[in-house]
Amino acid sequence: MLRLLSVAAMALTIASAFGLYQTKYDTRQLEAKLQAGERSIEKMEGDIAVLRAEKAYLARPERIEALAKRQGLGPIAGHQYVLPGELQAKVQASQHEAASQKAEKASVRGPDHIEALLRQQDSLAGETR
Amino acid sequence: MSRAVPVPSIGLYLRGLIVGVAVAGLFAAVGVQLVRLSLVARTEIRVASAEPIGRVFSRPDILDRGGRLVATDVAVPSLYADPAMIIDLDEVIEKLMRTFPDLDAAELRKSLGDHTRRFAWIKRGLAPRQAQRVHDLGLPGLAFRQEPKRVYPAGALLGHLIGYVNVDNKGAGGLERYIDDNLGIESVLGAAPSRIPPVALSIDLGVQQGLAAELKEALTRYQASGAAGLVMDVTTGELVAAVSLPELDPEKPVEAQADGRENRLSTGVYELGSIFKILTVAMALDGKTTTLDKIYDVRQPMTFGQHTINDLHPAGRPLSVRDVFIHSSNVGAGMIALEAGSARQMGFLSRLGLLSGARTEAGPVAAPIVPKRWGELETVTIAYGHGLATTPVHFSAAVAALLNGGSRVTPTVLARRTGIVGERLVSAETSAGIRELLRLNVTSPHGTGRRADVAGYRVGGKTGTAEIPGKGGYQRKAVISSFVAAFPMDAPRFLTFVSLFEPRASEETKGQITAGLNAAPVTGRLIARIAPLLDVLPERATQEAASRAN
Repeated sequence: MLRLLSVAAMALTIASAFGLYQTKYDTRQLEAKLQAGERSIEKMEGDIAVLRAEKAYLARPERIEALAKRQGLGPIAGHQYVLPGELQAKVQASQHEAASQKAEKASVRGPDHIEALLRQQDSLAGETR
Repeated sequence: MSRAVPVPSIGLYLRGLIVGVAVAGLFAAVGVQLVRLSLVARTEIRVASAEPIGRVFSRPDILDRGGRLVATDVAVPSLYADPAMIIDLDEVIEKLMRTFPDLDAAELRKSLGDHTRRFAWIKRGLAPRQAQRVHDLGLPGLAFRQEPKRVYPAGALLGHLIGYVNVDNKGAGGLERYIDDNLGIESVLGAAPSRIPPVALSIDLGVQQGLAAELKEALTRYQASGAAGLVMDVTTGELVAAVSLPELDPEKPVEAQADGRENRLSTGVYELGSIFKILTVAMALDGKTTTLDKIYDVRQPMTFGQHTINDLHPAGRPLSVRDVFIHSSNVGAGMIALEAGSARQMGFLSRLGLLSGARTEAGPVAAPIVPKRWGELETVTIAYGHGLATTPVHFSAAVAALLNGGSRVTPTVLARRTGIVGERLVSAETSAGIRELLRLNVTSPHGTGRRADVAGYRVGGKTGTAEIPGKGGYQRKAVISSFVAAFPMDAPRFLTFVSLFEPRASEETKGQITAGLNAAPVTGRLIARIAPLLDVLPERATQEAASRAN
């Protein structure tokens, strides 16, 4: 009886020792994984910080202003504000103006050379296809 | 099978008991340990660092009014050595000196030669490429640590406000210092980003850039030695823009010590000249010692002993308070102030906060220079802005209170979530009177501020041309010309202040150096540029007139 108990206890101890070893091993694996994860989060966060700083640096008003000026843009002038009700009329007027200007240009300068060139290129592209 | 069972002796029984208890105890210990290991949460294992590490700090980001990034921390490698691990000191020093010629060899030898130390900084805040080069040297005893480093994507644009940080990323001046003292920074190992919420400025980067660009252009156009300007929300006291030229790069703190680099808005005190007449008239209106229509005989200069007070362009006729203001008559302002009395003037200026120092989050605002003796002569000179030197920030806050209906504003560079209604300083009628005068000074054909007008934005403002005191009295040719303005004048939202230091006369200014010909047009261009950014819509009637004209 006592012997049986002893053997059973011994077996249980060995089993738990193995069990513990297994758990510990798994835990270590998980810990390593966690640490790797944390490291990569840290690295990502660092990268994000650098990218945000770079983005802000590229978007600094000093630089944007120079770029905008090169595009012929400037601060909004008072007369550029249009109330929603007047929008329709304003758009029509500007379209009308653009159309008449184009007609005028065509009559004064003759055919639009650049447009002709573009057309030529298009047709060339079509041929090679 | 009856065998005589030997009767165990007491000794044998005791022995069995002891063994049994011991074995049971051991099993119990194993069991307890098993339970403990499986149940009790493991305390985190941290690798204890062998070397004593210098403390570094991670700081909260700084954002502008619209959430644009102004300052942030990025991780950079810093090079350190474990002197005990260094094998060949000469080789290490030689190779390091070749990589970083700016290092001090003697210093290096001293710190790395000390084998009792386990930690010594060599160079902090390296570029990634530099770090790689050191790594390639393959020297034992050298290692890197990631450290947070402050970077300022907006560059020098906000330099005067931001201040700077030291090598440990600790605030050493300006707003950075304020963050350390009031919001807290975190001591960190490595370069973890700050968990402290970002600090929101009241400054708008776009408006700041607009102001900086206009002032820089004015600097070359009028060949001035310096310029300063600010845009303030008149109800909250928030500074939407604040520029002092020359600018300051927060990454080069050494420059801040150079001459002429001071923040002219808050650390320089100046006699601001005729823009003080706003305060003089407000004082008299609020004290009910005058009305806008009251007539003053300004034909004779005022004399106090050997001092004579003249008008630059004498009107040659008696003037009403309105005319005194738009002609900027010194004599008229002096008479209005004398009528109100020295005590009232002193009390009024003191109430507006003009007689004491102050501070914003960006640092202290210099205390004004107040005359020792405040007699009749001083009352008259202060009435037109001489004899009392103050900072543009002080002055702007005082005028903002006069414009917003009469409530005190406290200048700030941090965004205020709610409009704080300050203590009442002047009556609503006084405020309305001042608004009328400022607008009149821009719309009237005789007004000194007419060149500041911008179609649609209802600008109002006042000029001030103050001679700079030099050796043996005031200098006629060296002036500070200022323009203080507000828009839209029917319900002012923003105040602008522009000062040009020692502008030169040119053809454009008809050989003059008065503010009406330089600071006023600069203000006009400034407002045309920033009003759309500040959501101020142009007035309809003027807009229609403008589009018809085009």
